[in-house]
Amino acid sequence: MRVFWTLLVKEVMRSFAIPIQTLLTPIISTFLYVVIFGVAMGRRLSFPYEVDYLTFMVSGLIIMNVFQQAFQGITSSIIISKYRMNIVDLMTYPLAQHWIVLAHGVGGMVRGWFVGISLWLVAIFFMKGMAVSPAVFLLSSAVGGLLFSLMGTWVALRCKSFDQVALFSNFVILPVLFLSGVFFPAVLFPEPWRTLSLYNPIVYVVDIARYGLIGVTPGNPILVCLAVLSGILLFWGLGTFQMRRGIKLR
Amino acid sequence: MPAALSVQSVKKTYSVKQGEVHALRGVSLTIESGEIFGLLGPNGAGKTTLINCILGIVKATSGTVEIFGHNNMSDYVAARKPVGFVYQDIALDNFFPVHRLLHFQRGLYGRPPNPAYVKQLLQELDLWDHRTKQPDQLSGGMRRRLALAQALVHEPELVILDEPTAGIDIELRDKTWDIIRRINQKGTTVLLTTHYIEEAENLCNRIGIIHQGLFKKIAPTQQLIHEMGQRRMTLHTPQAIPDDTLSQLSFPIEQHPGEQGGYRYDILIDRGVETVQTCMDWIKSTGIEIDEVELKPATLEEVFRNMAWGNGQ
Repeated sequence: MRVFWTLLVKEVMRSFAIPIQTLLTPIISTFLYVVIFGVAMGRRLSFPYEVDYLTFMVSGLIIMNVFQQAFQGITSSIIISKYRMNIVDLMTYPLAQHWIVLAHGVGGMVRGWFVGISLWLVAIFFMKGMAVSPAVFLLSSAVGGLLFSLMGTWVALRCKSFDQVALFSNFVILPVLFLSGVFFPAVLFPEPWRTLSLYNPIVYVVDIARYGLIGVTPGNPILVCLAVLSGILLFWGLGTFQMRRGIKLR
Repeated sequence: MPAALSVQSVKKTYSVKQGEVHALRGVSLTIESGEIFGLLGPNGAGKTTLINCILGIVKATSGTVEIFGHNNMSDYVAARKPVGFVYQDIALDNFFPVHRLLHFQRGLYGRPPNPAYVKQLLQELDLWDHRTKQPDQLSGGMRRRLALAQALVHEPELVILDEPTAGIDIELRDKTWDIIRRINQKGTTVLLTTHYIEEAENLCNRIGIIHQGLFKKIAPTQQLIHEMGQRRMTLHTPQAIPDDTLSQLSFPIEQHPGEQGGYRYDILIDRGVETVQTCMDWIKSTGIEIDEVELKPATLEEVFRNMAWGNGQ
């Protein structure tokens, strides 16, 4: 337990050792999204919900940042260790491989969570109606963050360089997030994106996290839990399998 | 009580474009608790591959490794816990300052925090004044000492050191040797690889010479030197020894001009006390006039050279 805890704390503290990258960058990029999309386009959109488009989009951006930072934080931590060659230390800790993967997963999740909560606090300060059910938001963003962080752990263990991670990040993570109703409700997507989004489990995670923020009704909560739990188990298993197969180095 | 380290018939084969490379060809080695064992071998002999197999970083193609009775693959958590190591290429996490790295390292091996021990270790390795620096802010020698501190901070029972004194000055080398001796006196088993024969000769109870993936010899250090080393006898004579007298000697003998005039003869004596006596008897029997006789003892370096590369290379 002590080994797991130390590895987890080390991963979390690693994120806080680089505060500009961890916190400032997502806050600035979110601000730019809000200015460009929210303020400029929001006024022109007719929106079917009780909240206005800006509120809807800001809640989506908070959730997107939790997931993105959970993924990016852990991938950069592992790839930097590969560049510095101290990644082999992971192979020598007296801790079962699945716990090593989970410690990284939770470490990345905490980073995403920290960013999300910081953005949320800023949003609460500037906007009304951003804290309908904090417990639902905290729990769902934590679980979704864990899913993305475990995905990032697996991807980083498999990849040899930042270039390879960027391929996955740009061609899988970004499209999945953009098609999950972060900026716009998935039900209002034109076809075939609307149908495609039904098969994107992240849509449901975003929905339930958004419910916690602004109260927009989520999809089927049972489906959400099943989708997220399956994803967590899948990527936890894949990460452990990769550890067992060997960590790819440069 | 199980051996500190037991390596049985370990083979490691890498597949490359040209075919297969046999890095280890079935090595076996047992190190008992409390030993300092030296692993010697030329570059590419398989030393680092063997260490990586022991640490579980590289999976052996076949064979088994047990650390204090725990198999390093099937029971890896228990096998890894009592081990500390220093790699040949120092790779340190640069996100944290020196003291925090060491506190983490203790926890990562399941040890409770012990700031007093961390402080003592940093002081012993002359790193206390640099405790708040990031590893990248340290000099090469300091980084190597930090790596040693990382290997020792969780008070391991088996320490594996891959060239621990490469690139550090003599004073720090002596300090490192002292630390190795001290932890050994407290019961820690040490496996070290080194290119400095003097280091192995000074520190190790036993030595294994590995070459092309196989142990050529494993023996106590002094026994190895005694059995495998060649003593060198040098005779300084005012007159040249006649060829027919030289040919009576069964040992190799080389004639050189003497530095102060006369002649110098170097005789390689293979091994054993009797052979020195044989040589002395021969000198007496020839009746040649001798100015000076020198007898140089065998060294581990000579043994190593002979075993790794063969005589005369």
